[in-house]
Amino acid sequence: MTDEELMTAVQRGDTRRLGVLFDRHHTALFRYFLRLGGSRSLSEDLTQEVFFRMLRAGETWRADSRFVNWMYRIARNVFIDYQRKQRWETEMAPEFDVPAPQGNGYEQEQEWELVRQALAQLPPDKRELLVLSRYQGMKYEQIGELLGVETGTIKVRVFRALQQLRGIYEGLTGGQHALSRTGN
Amino acid sequence: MPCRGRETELAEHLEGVANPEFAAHLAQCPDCQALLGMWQRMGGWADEAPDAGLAVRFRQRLNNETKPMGRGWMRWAGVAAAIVVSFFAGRTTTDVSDLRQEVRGLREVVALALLEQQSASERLRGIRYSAALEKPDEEVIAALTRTLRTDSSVDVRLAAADALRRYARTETVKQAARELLTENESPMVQVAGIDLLLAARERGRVEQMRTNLNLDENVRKYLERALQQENWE
Ligand SMILES: [Zn+2]
Repeated sequence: MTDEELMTAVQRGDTRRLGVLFDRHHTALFRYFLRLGGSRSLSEDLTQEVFFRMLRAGETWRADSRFVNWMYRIARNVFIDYQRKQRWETEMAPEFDVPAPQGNGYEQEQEWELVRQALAQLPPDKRELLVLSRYQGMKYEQIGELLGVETGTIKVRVFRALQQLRGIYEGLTGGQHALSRTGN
Repeated sequence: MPCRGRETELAEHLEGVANPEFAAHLAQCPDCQALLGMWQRMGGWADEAPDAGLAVRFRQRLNNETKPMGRGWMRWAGVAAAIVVSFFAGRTTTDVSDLRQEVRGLREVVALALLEQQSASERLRGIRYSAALEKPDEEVIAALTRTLRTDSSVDVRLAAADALRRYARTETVKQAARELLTENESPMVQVAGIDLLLAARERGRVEQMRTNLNLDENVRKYLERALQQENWE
């Protein structure tokens, strides 16, 4: 059965089918939240929340739409709501529970760790764009549909996000060089 | 090397679009090469898998939340059954499309009945039920709006605000949302009002709140961040 057929069955009350959709997509969603900056446990919670929201918001499902797009639309809302709630509860505290960059141990620091830190410093809209295009394997056209923006605009925005990420990354590695120089 | 106007081409290159003209530029442009390098470096952040227990926990919760025969359900079924009887009483002929129409109407009657229940948890159930309606009629939206404005439980009011988000552009809902901001409401309710007005694209009304000197400090912070976030949503 396709995702779309399964979701239509869920909408009609066959809620066990949601388990199949969960099996197919929960790993991708988990990674999505993780790369947006969530911890492992938060990302697992938010992943579950997406599927329970499907159950509650089943009426917004249209059998002729693409399930994955609808799923990411819900996932975005789950994340935005999480941030709002977090913002409310902790006021102006940092939005995610990503561990803060360590002050020492640059030698062992892996390149990907710096990539992660650089991404975490990007403004949320740009981070989201790069996560969707680079890690979630979404085409610009699909992202445009998800965000309600022209495909051409998405391309330009991806370029700019990447440009800014590069700047941040070079700042981080520049810091690394400076540190090793002072160490000498 | 001038990369002005190359944004689209580079982005397309990342998606695998072959473009000899851009490839030639890339070969001799350090800036574009650096961006490509950044893109490749991003691939170094390896995929992580969620906990194996997650799927098990999900199914447990799914079973709990969809269990058809909880006690609450029985009470609810009683309400529904009573309504079914009164609804169909006196009918002699129906064709299928009539019936379908009536079942749709019936669901709305159930939703309305639940919204009038004594216990807050039943009213919450009514809100969830209303939110699941395909196309609630004006009466259900009005009942939800009334709940939003006047219910004695803040939880119920917040749930009503959530359910109404889909209909935020309805005039009565907008009106109620504005009241949440102007009256002497708890900060949580005011925040729900902000969210509803933003969903209704009534940004101007939300911005107006800034001038209110008596605004709760937390609400003000929320307001500023919500407006800021709206810019990129
Ligand atoms: Zn270039």
